[in-house]
Amino acid sequence: MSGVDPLRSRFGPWLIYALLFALALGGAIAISLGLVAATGGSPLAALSAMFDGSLRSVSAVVTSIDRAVPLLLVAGGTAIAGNAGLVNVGQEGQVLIGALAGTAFGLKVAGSGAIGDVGILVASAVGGACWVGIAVLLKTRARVNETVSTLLLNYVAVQLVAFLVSRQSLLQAPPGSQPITPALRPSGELPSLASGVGFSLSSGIVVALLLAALAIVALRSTRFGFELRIFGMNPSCVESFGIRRQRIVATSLLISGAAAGLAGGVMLSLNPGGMTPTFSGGVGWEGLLVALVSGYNPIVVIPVAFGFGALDAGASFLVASGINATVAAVFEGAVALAVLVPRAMLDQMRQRTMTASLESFERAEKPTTPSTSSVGMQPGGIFTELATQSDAALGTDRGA
Amino acid sequence: MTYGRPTAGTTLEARGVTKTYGRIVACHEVSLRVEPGEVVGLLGQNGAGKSTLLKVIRGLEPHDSGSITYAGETLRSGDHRRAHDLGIAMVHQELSLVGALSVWENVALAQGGTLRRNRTIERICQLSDEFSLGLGKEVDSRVDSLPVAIRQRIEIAKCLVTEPRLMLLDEPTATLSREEATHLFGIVRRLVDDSSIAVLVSSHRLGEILDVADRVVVLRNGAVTGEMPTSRATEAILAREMLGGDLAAVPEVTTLLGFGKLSVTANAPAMRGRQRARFEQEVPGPLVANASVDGGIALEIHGLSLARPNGATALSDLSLTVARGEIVGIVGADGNGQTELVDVLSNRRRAERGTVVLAPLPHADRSTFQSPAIGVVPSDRHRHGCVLGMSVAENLFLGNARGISRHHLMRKKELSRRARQLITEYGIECEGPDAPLWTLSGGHQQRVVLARELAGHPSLLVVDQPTRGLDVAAVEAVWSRLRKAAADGAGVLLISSDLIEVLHLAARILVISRGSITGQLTPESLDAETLGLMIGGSETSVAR
Amino acid sequence: MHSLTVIISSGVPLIALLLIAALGELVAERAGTLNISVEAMMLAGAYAAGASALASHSVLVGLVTGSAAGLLIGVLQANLSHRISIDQFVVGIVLVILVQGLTSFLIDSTQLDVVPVAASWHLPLLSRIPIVGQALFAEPWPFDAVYVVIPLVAYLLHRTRWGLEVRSAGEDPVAARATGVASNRRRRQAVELCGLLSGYAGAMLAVAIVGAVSDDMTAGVGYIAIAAVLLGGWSVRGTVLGCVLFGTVEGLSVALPTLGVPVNGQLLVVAPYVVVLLAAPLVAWRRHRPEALGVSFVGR
Repeated sequence: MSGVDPLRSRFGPWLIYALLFALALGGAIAISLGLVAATGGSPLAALSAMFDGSLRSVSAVVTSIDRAVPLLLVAGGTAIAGNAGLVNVGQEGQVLIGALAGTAFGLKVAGSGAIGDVGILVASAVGGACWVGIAVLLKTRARVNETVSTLLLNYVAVQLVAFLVSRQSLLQAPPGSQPITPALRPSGELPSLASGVGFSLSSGIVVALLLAALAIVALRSTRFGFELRIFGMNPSCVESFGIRRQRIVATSLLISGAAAGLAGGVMLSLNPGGMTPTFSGGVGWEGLLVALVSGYNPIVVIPVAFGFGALDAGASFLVASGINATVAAVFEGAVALAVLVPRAMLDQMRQRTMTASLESFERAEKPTTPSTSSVGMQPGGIFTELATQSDAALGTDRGA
Repeated sequence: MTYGRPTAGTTLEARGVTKTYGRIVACHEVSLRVEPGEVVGLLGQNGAGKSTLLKVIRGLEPHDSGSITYAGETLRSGDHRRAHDLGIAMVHQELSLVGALSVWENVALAQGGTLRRNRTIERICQLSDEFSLGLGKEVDSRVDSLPVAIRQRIEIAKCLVTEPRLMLLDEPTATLSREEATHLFGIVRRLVDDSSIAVLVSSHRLGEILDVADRVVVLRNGAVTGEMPTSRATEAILAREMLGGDLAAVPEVTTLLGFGKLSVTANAPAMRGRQRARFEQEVPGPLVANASVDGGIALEIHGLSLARPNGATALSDLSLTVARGEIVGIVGADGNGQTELVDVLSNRRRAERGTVVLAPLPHADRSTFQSPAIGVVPSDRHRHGCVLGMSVAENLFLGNARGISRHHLMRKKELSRRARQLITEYGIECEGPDAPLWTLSGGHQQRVVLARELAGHPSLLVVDQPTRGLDVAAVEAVWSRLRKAAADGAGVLLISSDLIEVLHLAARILVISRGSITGQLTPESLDAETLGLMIGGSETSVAR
Repeated sequence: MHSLTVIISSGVPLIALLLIAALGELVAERAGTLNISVEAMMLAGAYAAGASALASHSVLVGLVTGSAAGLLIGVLQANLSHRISIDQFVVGIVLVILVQGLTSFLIDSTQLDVVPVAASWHLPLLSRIPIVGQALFAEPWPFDAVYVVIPLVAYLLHRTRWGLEVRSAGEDPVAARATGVASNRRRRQAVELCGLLSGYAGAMLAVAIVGAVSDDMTAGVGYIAIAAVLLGGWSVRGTVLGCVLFGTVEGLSVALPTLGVPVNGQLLVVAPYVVVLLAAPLVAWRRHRPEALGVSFVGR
């Protein structure tokens, strides 16, 4: 008897998946362009403007890269937590607090030059980690779902920053009429890699790529990454393998928060001129989308982040053609759905045909076993074990 | 009589019902008949097809061929709604109760129609009085605050409110004490005698079947092997029917049950692959004399106790020892604590009381392997034994990342190399060490788990239902691995509901029932009574 | 005006808004779905209501369209998470981002500054009550839906078979399934009802409170609704109290400065979120949580 069932070949379904994805992606493009047309714009002009803004000139490419850097950082961190099966949606708040921490460091502790630059970045990473740390505490001590807590913390972050930038005694810039911090320039700016007429490539890209590489290595080649992936795919079995679940949960979430905070710190350099409560400007949400579209794969995150960055850069040129820039946001959301839906449908189909006969037989023969399967689909990959209620009762799920 | 529904002419007739899951035949051409007013017992080992058959009759699972006729109407395959309308109802083992809801709400869920609290409560009290269910005072209590025995009766009440004409009871006494079981059967008998309901109850416990049923139908490997009125049956006869030809291959057992030479009769089913192979092959010295390699104890458990999340007792003061080089078998029906025992030994759960002492680590080569003292192959391997989404190589090193990494970095080449070694050694059929585990068949996934657990040369190996659902070749492979592990000095704790397997492999056999070890026997001390015990899992302790 | 009247009337619109959306979310959560897309439902409702009210010059049409828009989002959320089994939180977030982008784009591309506003109804006797009468009973007529929605949801959840099945799907979908309840279908229906109600709430915001449609006009109100359900311990009474509490607090942040009382704006705005975060670990509170909240169920 052969050990490999032809139904279980791993390549066939990928073709179908690619096809479905292409179809869905085409749909997303059609919808976006349709929106443009429906509101009186010209799709061709839109595409042309997008290209102008993102890839046509060196300056445009630099802008694309600069837009992509924070996204890459946020998405990289999110991907790590995502591989552990944890859904962190608090990136907006973590970016904000990260920028806050970086600004505070730059203004109060400061120093200029290397110490200042590095210090600001480190401070922002720490800030982001501390912010998500609140959610980590709630999760590990009280089994509070991390999605809920990180979500609510976003709004708390905004108010915290608003508070701090409205008081001269704290972080508000003189003369005290605007809710904004003083600019960090020149100490807050990262050294430029290359400059020319009208552009300047920040070295933030180096930081981002470095960390992305670290993330890839960590996830694929370290013991910690291995254990993290096991936890993500099958949380109920980890004790048998000597893996401490709380350690995984805490570390992966903290990394995710630190990365987002770091993104905030890098943004300080890219947007010098002081920090406001709306400083994060959607970077957190967009970074989350990048991670989702990449299926939490840290390698795929890199091109996707640059793609989204290019989209953003191009979108800013749309206004000149009379088209609102948020169509890019719509497109990005539609792409996320375009990626998630076919994958989920395919996994569901595949799972139905591949549920081992033995499993079905055992379920039927055991009077105490329900007839439904427990294996489900998560953005991070197929055959991730869904938490069952007995797991929740025993504490062997992902915790709350 | 509180039933308005006429029961005349409501005979259940199953003819030639067959149900398969892939290559596994769960039910093979099963035919049986249940008349109104009688209790029919369905007897068989775990995996014999009892539960599947009941689910098929209820319409919860579709059958592949054959027919099911009730009250003159032929039911379509999988038509559970029509079965419900006709009056076929199933009593689940408390799994269909929503713990956070109250008793009356749970019963109301089964009732149908507009939600009327008072009407439902009234009905519950009625039924409770008539059949001594004892639910009258608890109608508003949350179900998860009530003890297990009461929950079983809520299940019955749920069934009764639908005014069934045929009740299917699937292993109803598995979680009940002796008194509670007796009480339950009293209810069943009263139901049948008062209102001519028909009852089909499945069990593996010989004594209970003899107590409650009028007729007994014996299932073996998915097929009916015998049928007789209980007045003419004894435990020995039933045991023989239940185990039949399989045991004939084990000489000692053959003698004691008076089989003599057993031939394959016309009645015997098309046995599933491995059974036939076993029957036809030469059985290699069935009961291995296990000599301890270097003596000493591999495992000592004392007074282990543990409760389930719902409050029921899972392990109750359980004690046992396993010597190095010895294979100890634990027999008993599912749900008597085996899963929890394995959970404790694999570190998934912590016991509330008791001690577990493992042998000190053997002197293995520390530099190449992290040598765990214990290897565990759980019964529920998809959930607890492996990660389907990872590659074969990764699965082979799930708990042992340290063994292939240096300074926290996993060495891929090393991983691949070691994995290939194991793949060859254990004959794992796959596209390569990087193939995802889900591309392997069940039997080979099991080999991966076994390979991983044995690779560390543990001093104790715990295997739970290691060959369930595997084909002949895979079964033989697993058996030889287990024997080899014991020969190499490990203690092996073999938990299995397959008697043949245990009799073939184990030097000592422990019977587990309701969370503790109720008996111990060696193959030499087998007799009809203890054999019945092993199958029937009753509470009488046997000390040999 | 009496200062109390000012305070109450500042809070009432938000309370009404929150109540309707939160009660919808309550049903969804009792069914087991932590529905983050409430924000999207409300925003879609607001935009659809504004656009259609403007086009038809009818507030009623606006309300109906808004509810339908919310329902549409509900259908999406329901099917993506309870039929195709994508993680419900992920679906919620993506829907919010999508709807925010979409409405932002459409608002900019179409002229939607001013929309018809619903007239206030002065309830005959009640509005004469001193101090509170003007504040509570002289509100735009769409608010009065609150008086219908509260008893309706209570009745649906606790007195109908549908509600019983929905609750069982939220506590133990496996057991419910074994009893013949179509657990996932009930979950979908609960989410769709949430969409309908949240869409109405969003519509109310556009045509009865603000009288205009602007970018991201819901500004996180959907999340406060979720917070109210959590704080209220998943009961109708608790949700109502939670909404009143949060609505009042937010109202204060508007009213007090008007009355000349200096107040820390950020503190008041952030209070709901902080309160819920602090309450979350409380054990007693957790006892009321639907046991299968957030747990996926694969099956009918």
